[in-house]
Amino acid sequence: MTRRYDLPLIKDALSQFQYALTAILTVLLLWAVTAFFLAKDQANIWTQGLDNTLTIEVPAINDNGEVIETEQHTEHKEQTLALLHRKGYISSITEIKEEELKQLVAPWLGDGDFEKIVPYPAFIRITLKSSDKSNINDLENALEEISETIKLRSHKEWMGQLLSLTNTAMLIASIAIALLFFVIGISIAFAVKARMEMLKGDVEILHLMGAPASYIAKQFQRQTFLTGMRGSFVGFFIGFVSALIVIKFIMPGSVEGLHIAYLDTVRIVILAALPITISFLSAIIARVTAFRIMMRLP
Amino acid sequence: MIKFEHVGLRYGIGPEVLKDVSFELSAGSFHFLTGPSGAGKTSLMRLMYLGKKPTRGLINIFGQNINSASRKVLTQSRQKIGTVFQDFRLIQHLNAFDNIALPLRIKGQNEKEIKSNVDELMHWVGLEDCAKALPSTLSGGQQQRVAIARAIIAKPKLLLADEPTGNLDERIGHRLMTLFEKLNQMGTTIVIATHSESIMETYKHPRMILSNHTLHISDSASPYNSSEGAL
Repeated sequence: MTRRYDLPLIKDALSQFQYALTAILTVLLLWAVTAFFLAKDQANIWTQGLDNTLTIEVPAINDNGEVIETEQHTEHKEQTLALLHRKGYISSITEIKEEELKQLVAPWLGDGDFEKIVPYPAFIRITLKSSDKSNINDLENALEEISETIKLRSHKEWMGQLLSLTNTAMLIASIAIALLFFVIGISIAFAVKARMEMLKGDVEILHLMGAPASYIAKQFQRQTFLTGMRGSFVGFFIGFVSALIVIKFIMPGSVEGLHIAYLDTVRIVILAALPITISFLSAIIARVTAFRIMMRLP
Repeated sequence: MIKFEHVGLRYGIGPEVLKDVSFELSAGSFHFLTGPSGAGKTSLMRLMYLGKKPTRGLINIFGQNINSASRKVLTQSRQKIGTVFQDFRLIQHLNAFDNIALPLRIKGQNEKEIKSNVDELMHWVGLEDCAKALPSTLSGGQQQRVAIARAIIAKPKLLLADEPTGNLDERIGHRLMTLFEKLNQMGTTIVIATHSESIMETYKHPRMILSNHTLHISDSASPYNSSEGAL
């Protein structure tokens, strides 16, 4: 049996507008959610393996900018290595070779023997068995006893700038998602208001016949839900296909190193829930708006 | 059934269109509401079909004080009132059948019963061939009959009709008045706003006469025997 409407809500201009607007907003919403996933993945990739990884710098220059004697520098390095081997909470110790350091600074300093002018510091990369803060404090104190110039740095701290970039991208995507939901809500509310204004005479007749507010609101709710469902599923399809095309075929070539968002079950559920969420949100907003307007009638 | 006590009505900040109106209609009564154009007949009808609240005074309908009644009570009261509007106010996208069926659908009656009741009434008012017709394709007289059928389909306790026979030929007009009489005999309280002296002369019922925005009630059919509407 087909659903019956007492009010002319099907195929009016506002229904078409709502359908198109919902589809467009769903496309934008899907892109915003995809952008969020991409930014989150990128942050995870950058920080992967950096947890519990620290670098110890044994400088060749003291805090006053004076070059430390080679023997003393070597002694500091050896004492540090000996200390690290004694600590049970360290799982791996890697000393960065001078050749490796030369390669790292070559893009800025060139291939000259600059260590004769400014000697290279010694770098030792270590991995802790756990991220227990007390172990890091203990290590810091022990290194300070060897020399106050020795510095302990977390790799995650070095990634701070890049991580803040991805966090900003995630924040912007989150704000965009919230804004898009807000725009969907506002546009539905105004569409229902406009439609009730257009059908004021008919709504009033139903009201005077003793139709409860729920009877009238239900008609707007049902129509808005169905239009929202149609619009959001069309938008979802367009958004999903376009996002896939952009990620698979355009991005890898133009943005080197950007990784494709991994679609696990949770994410598939989140994306698939978008059109359903939009449909239900539209229906709830339509019902509440219609109710509020009905309350103004005597 | 209906009791108005010192009721006044104004629209916005305009002058009072009804002044100090007091009357009481008992259940099962039949009244004509008459008076010159602009006297406030439509405004008085609007108060009676609960389309507006008075700016002063008290209205009591079906034992409920309308001024302080809850939305639920107002809704239930409206379901007991059938109204024929002067401009019919049919829903243009619904056909004649669906327009007439509206009060029953609002009450939640099942579709089988609705079909049977609406078909019977459409036959009675001579619209059996117009069930699928949209109001815009019907003549003025046919639209008026749809409006009347819609007002009486749910067997209201109170029937209010604003110029119900205005667009009808004499034969159909009298047939509908006979229908109103029958409804009245079955217990429906009826108030008909009309200018038609011939209708009021033919069907002898008390007259409510509005003039200068105040109401007088005449107990007999003659307008010259009028007195102040008493409580």
